[in-house]
This record gives sequence, structure tokens and C-alpha cells, in this order.
Amino acid sequence: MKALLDDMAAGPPHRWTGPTPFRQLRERLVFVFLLVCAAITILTTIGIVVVLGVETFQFFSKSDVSVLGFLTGTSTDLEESGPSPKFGILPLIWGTFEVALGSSLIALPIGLLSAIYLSEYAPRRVRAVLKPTLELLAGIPTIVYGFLAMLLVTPVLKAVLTPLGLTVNINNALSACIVVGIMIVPMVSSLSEDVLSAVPRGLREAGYGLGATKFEVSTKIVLPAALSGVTASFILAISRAVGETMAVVLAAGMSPRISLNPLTSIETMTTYMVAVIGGEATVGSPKYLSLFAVGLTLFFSTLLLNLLSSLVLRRYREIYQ
Amino acid sequence: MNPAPRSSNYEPDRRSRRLMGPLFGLACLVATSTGVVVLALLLGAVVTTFLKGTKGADLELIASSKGTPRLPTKGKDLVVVADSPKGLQFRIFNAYARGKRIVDTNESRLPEKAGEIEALKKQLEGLWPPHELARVEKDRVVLAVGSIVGHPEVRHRSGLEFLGDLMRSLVESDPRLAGFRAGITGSLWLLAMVTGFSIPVGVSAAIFLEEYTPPGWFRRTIQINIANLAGVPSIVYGLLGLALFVNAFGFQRLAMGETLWAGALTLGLLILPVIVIATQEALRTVPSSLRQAALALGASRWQVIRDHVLPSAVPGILTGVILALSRAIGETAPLLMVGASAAVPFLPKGPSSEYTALPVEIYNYANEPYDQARIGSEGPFEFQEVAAGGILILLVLLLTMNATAIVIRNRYARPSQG
Repeated sequence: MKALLDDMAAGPPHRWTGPTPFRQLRERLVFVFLLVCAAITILTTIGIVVVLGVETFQFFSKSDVSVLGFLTGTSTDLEESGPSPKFGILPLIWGTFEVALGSSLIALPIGLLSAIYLSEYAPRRVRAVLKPTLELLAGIPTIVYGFLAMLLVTPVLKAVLTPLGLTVNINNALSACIVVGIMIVPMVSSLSEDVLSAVPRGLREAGYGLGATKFEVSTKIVLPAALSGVTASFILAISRAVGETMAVVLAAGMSPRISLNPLTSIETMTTYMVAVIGGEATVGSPKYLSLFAVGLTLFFSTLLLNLLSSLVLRRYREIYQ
Repeated sequence: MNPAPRSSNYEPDRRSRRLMGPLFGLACLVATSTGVVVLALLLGAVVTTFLKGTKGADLELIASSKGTPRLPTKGKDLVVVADSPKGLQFRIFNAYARGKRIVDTNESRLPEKAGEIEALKKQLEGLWPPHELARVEKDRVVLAVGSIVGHPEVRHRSGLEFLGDLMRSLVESDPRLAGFRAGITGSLWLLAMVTGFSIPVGVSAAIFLEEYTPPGWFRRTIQINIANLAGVPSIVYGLLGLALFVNAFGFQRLAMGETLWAGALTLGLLILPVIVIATQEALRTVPSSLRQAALALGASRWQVIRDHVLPSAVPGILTGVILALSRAIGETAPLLMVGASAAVPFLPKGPSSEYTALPVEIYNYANEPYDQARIGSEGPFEFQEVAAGGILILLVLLLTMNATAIVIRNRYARPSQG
């Protein structure tokens, strides 16, 4: 205490004369460095758009394929020498659509019900176990899900459906739908659970006060109140299914086909890319460039879905005090 | 004015209403437990397949040029050594295996001269995959037939030994010798390089956004941009890396080729948004009173961040970073695009070396042709078992990383409140 008083009597040891030039320089350098790093995120987006745009433009100028033909063509045969003029993305879009539709039929109900259970029904202890488990599922690499499809889902489908007189291909769309569906469940459930839990308690208690049962409170009060967030999570999950690659490659194979039969192999936009790159396309050849045309289509589809999701979230959000 | 509600509207004890609640609760519980069930199934399937790879056979010599031939013990594998009396082996086979296909040497006589042994070796090697076993040793040919328990080619080994074997051997076209050493090394290289790139850049970008950018259109734009980047499919990053890093739009001097540099930069960009978002969240939990106190004492903006904000946000940042890195480790599709797809039978020597990665090798092995009918039954050694082993290695790696993240999160939960 005495030492402190002595110090105070002696006055400040160092008079504040404003920032030193060194300090000013350092502040500026740090600012510039941080700015550059933040700019990298913007540059990544620009990079993706430019790369896909430029190479897609080259694809259309180097091959006989027209933009309209590309969007409506039904053949994905591409020779190294040049594509058939009938080359088009339609079978790939169909495959992608099939996987997205099938997987959301599985994932959306399961994910939503899990979210309702976790937020409304689960005792705290159960929740403490289930939530990390679902998070763990979300952290498993997609290649593992693909392996699961080969190892477990397809043989089970075969064992069940073959006696019914159906032929199940080793690679089939159904098993891809199932594993991709399971894969995106954690996404739906954790995002939906967040919005369901954010619904204020007062709303629930008002419902109970009016004599509603737990079921009625969950489905008629909490769910409508959180509908925008739930919808947004649905759209994000679908976007994820659209962009999924490895699980689909191993489960559904790579044979482009427009068919309603989910037991045959299909090709999606993502698996087309894997097939082309696996075929060692020469850099600059139409086959190589077609990667980017398909990639651009994929990028825009997922971008639209993601933007739609954030739009739904912002536009239709109910704000509670 | 609404008409007064009829009394019949109030039926608190309607059966359907009472039933609906529990039924719905049950449905929700079932839906939630699918996650747990799937996790269990997944681990079960992978481990079962993996364990099939540990089974060897008890080899028993039943016939040789010296001893008298005899039938093998029931339940044991039948192995015949080619230096036993002529034709004897096949007679034993036929008696024992009854109608099962045997490796046919085209003659009932087994080779004696060196040249003939060579020819037989060639013929047997062509019989891959050997559903019935044929093994060629240095100076003799070992034949086996019948239903084989496990893999007569390999000795019994424990799961850990099998994992060790997988980690030791390089990529191979023979599943008995295949392993992940090149992939594991490549993945660790990638991990180190991605860490070096995306942690500084990601954390800095987040600091810039949280501490330097005032709320407004600029910040909103970057924020939306980052959110969208996080939603871009990983394979599109692969295309970016392919055109920009691997081929540099055809400018040979700038192109990195299919090197670790290209792979690491691609993965680095891929997880950048994840790191930025996690860091931003961690920075937001630092109370602003801490900043104001430091600023009031005359600290500069950077000093406040370096000495006060960052230290109290470190646990949160670390958790986010580890989770992002574990995502990078498991990514396959972008690496296929930027050239990790080739089977590389050597270890990377430096950042500009060609490479392969663990998940890519798993993909390659899983994609090897295999006999679907054999799945679930005993069969010859397949790449599936190798792939399952690789998945176990990958999952152990990821689990370690995630557990570290959780431990950090729990230890430093609520670092500074006010």
C-alpha cells in the first residue's frame, strides 16, 4: 500500500504523448492484413463465378453444343474428340432431382419429428445424449455413408425386393436416396430444433392455459410460429442433397438415365464430374470443359436454394420480444 | 359478434385427442432414435466387414512327398502341397470337396520341373480373384479348395494387428497387401498445410468483420457472401481448384499441377467460411465491457484484440477450427477433382509432390470390383475389408479431433462473464 502511495506521489512514470509512429504503423499494417484476409472470402466467390463462367463459355465456343441444346439434350456421351451435338444436362438434372426428392421424402419428416421431440418432448437427460449423437452423425464424412450404401443398404434392398420380382441393380437410386436422406437428417433436425426452441415460452403456456394438450401446443402453436425457420432448414437440406457427391457415387453409380425406376443406376450432376475426372479428360478438351458447364448449373441450383432459404427466413420470420 | 360457442365444441376427454399426444410423442421418439440406430448400424457394418479381414486360416499339411496322404480334420481348410505324389491331391479334393470347383491345372499330374512350376504360377496368378485358393510360394505351389474360413492367404491377426498392417503398407493392386500409408501421410500433410493457411486467414477475416467493420451494407454483403460460400457444394470448390490451382487456366508457369499445394489450398478455401463463422461467434461472446475497459486504459485497437479479445475467445475459436479441420480431413470429392485420384505408390516428399489422401484411397478401394453375393458371407479377401479398415482409421482420427474440440469447449465453457 505504501509503495503504491509512493508511486502515485512520484507521478506517472510515463507521460502519454499520443500513439507513437511505430504503433500507428503497426495498427495500419494489421488493418491491411485483416482486410486482405476478409477480401479472400469475397475473392473466393468471385473466383468460383469467374472460373465456372470462363470455362463454360469456352465449352460452348469450342463444341457444337448450344446453350439451349445443353439445357434440353438427353445424351451425356462426350468423346475426347468432341461432343455429339445432342449433349445435354437433362439426364443429370433428372438424376439430381431424383436423389434430392427421394432423400427429402426421408429426411424432412424424420428431421422435423426429431426436432419436435428434442425441443418439446425430450427430458433434459435424453436430450443431452441425443443431441451430440445427431451432431456426430453430421460430422461423418460422406464417403462413409456411400460405403454404408454399398455394404448394407443395397444388399438389404436386394434381399427384400428380389423376392417380390423386382430387379435391384448393384448401383441404384433408391439406396442413394436412403443414405443421402439419413445424411441430411441431422441438418434438418438441428436447424429446426434451434428455431423451435426459440419460440417463447409464454406462447406455449398460453396454449396450455387454454386447455391444449402437448400435441396441440407442439403442432398448432410452436410449429406454426417457427414455420419460417423450419422451411429454411428444409431448403438448406435439399440444397445439401443436390450438391452431395461421394455418397451418391458409391450408391447410385454413374449411368445417366431418365427413368422413373428407382432401382436402376442414375447419374447426377456431381457424379458426372467424378466420372469425367476419373476418365482422365485432357485439359482444355470439350470433355474437360463440360465439367465446368455442369458445375455452373450445379452452383446456380444450390445458390438459388440457399438464397431462397435465407429469404424465407428473413421475410417470414415472426419476431417475438 | 360471434355466436356463443356451442357446448359440444368443448370435449376435453375426446379419445382421439387423448390418444394423439402419446402417439405423436412416440413417433417423434422413433424418428429421433433413427439417428442413433443408423450410427450403430454404420459402426456395426464397418467393424464387421473389417473383422472379416482379420480371419486367417489354420493351414494343415495333409499331403507331401514324404508323408502319407490323409484327409484333413473336419472344419479345417484343405491345403495340398504340390510336391506330394502325382494326382493324389485331386483325388483327395474330389473326395473331400464333392463338386466344389477346384483350381484346375489342366492335368492330373502336378509339375515337377522348374519350368512347369513357373507355368503353373502364371496360370494361378491369372485366376484372380481366387475364389478357391491358389498360393504360389518360392519353390512350391500350395493349393486349397473347399469353403474357406477367413483368408487362407493371411495368418490370423487381431484387429489391431490388421490396422497396423493397413497403416504400414502402401497402395497395392492386391487387397491382401493393400494399405493406407500413402493416404494417411498425404492427409496429414494436407492437414498441416490447411491449418497453416486457413486458421490465420479465417480468424483474421472474422476479426476484421467483428471488430473493424461497422454494421452496414458492407458488412452485410460480406456476411451474406460467407453464408453462401458455406453452402457451395464441395465439388464446386474442387472445380475452382482444378481450373485455378492445378491448371491455372493453361498458364503453365503458374500451374501447380496435381500437388499437395493445390489440394491444400482447395481444402483451405473450402473450410474458410466455416472457420470465419465459428470465430465470429466466439468473438461475439466476448463481453464488450472488456474491450471498453482496455480502450479506456489507452490500448490501441489491435492491442485490445491481441491482449484481451483473442485470449478470451480462444477456446471458442479452437473448437470451431478443429471441427472445420475434421471436415477437411473427410472431404473426398474436391480432392478427386484436384488430382488426388491417382493411385500413388509413394509417400509425398514435400508440398509440391503428388499425393493421395485417406478418404480418396477409401473411395478407390471401395470402388474396386467385388462380388456382391459374397457380402455378408465368408469369401476371399476383398478390397471391402481394406476399405472398412480405412474408414475405421478415418473415424478414429475424426473422433479424436472432435473429442478434443468437446473437451476444450467443456473446459473453457463460459470463460469470462462480464
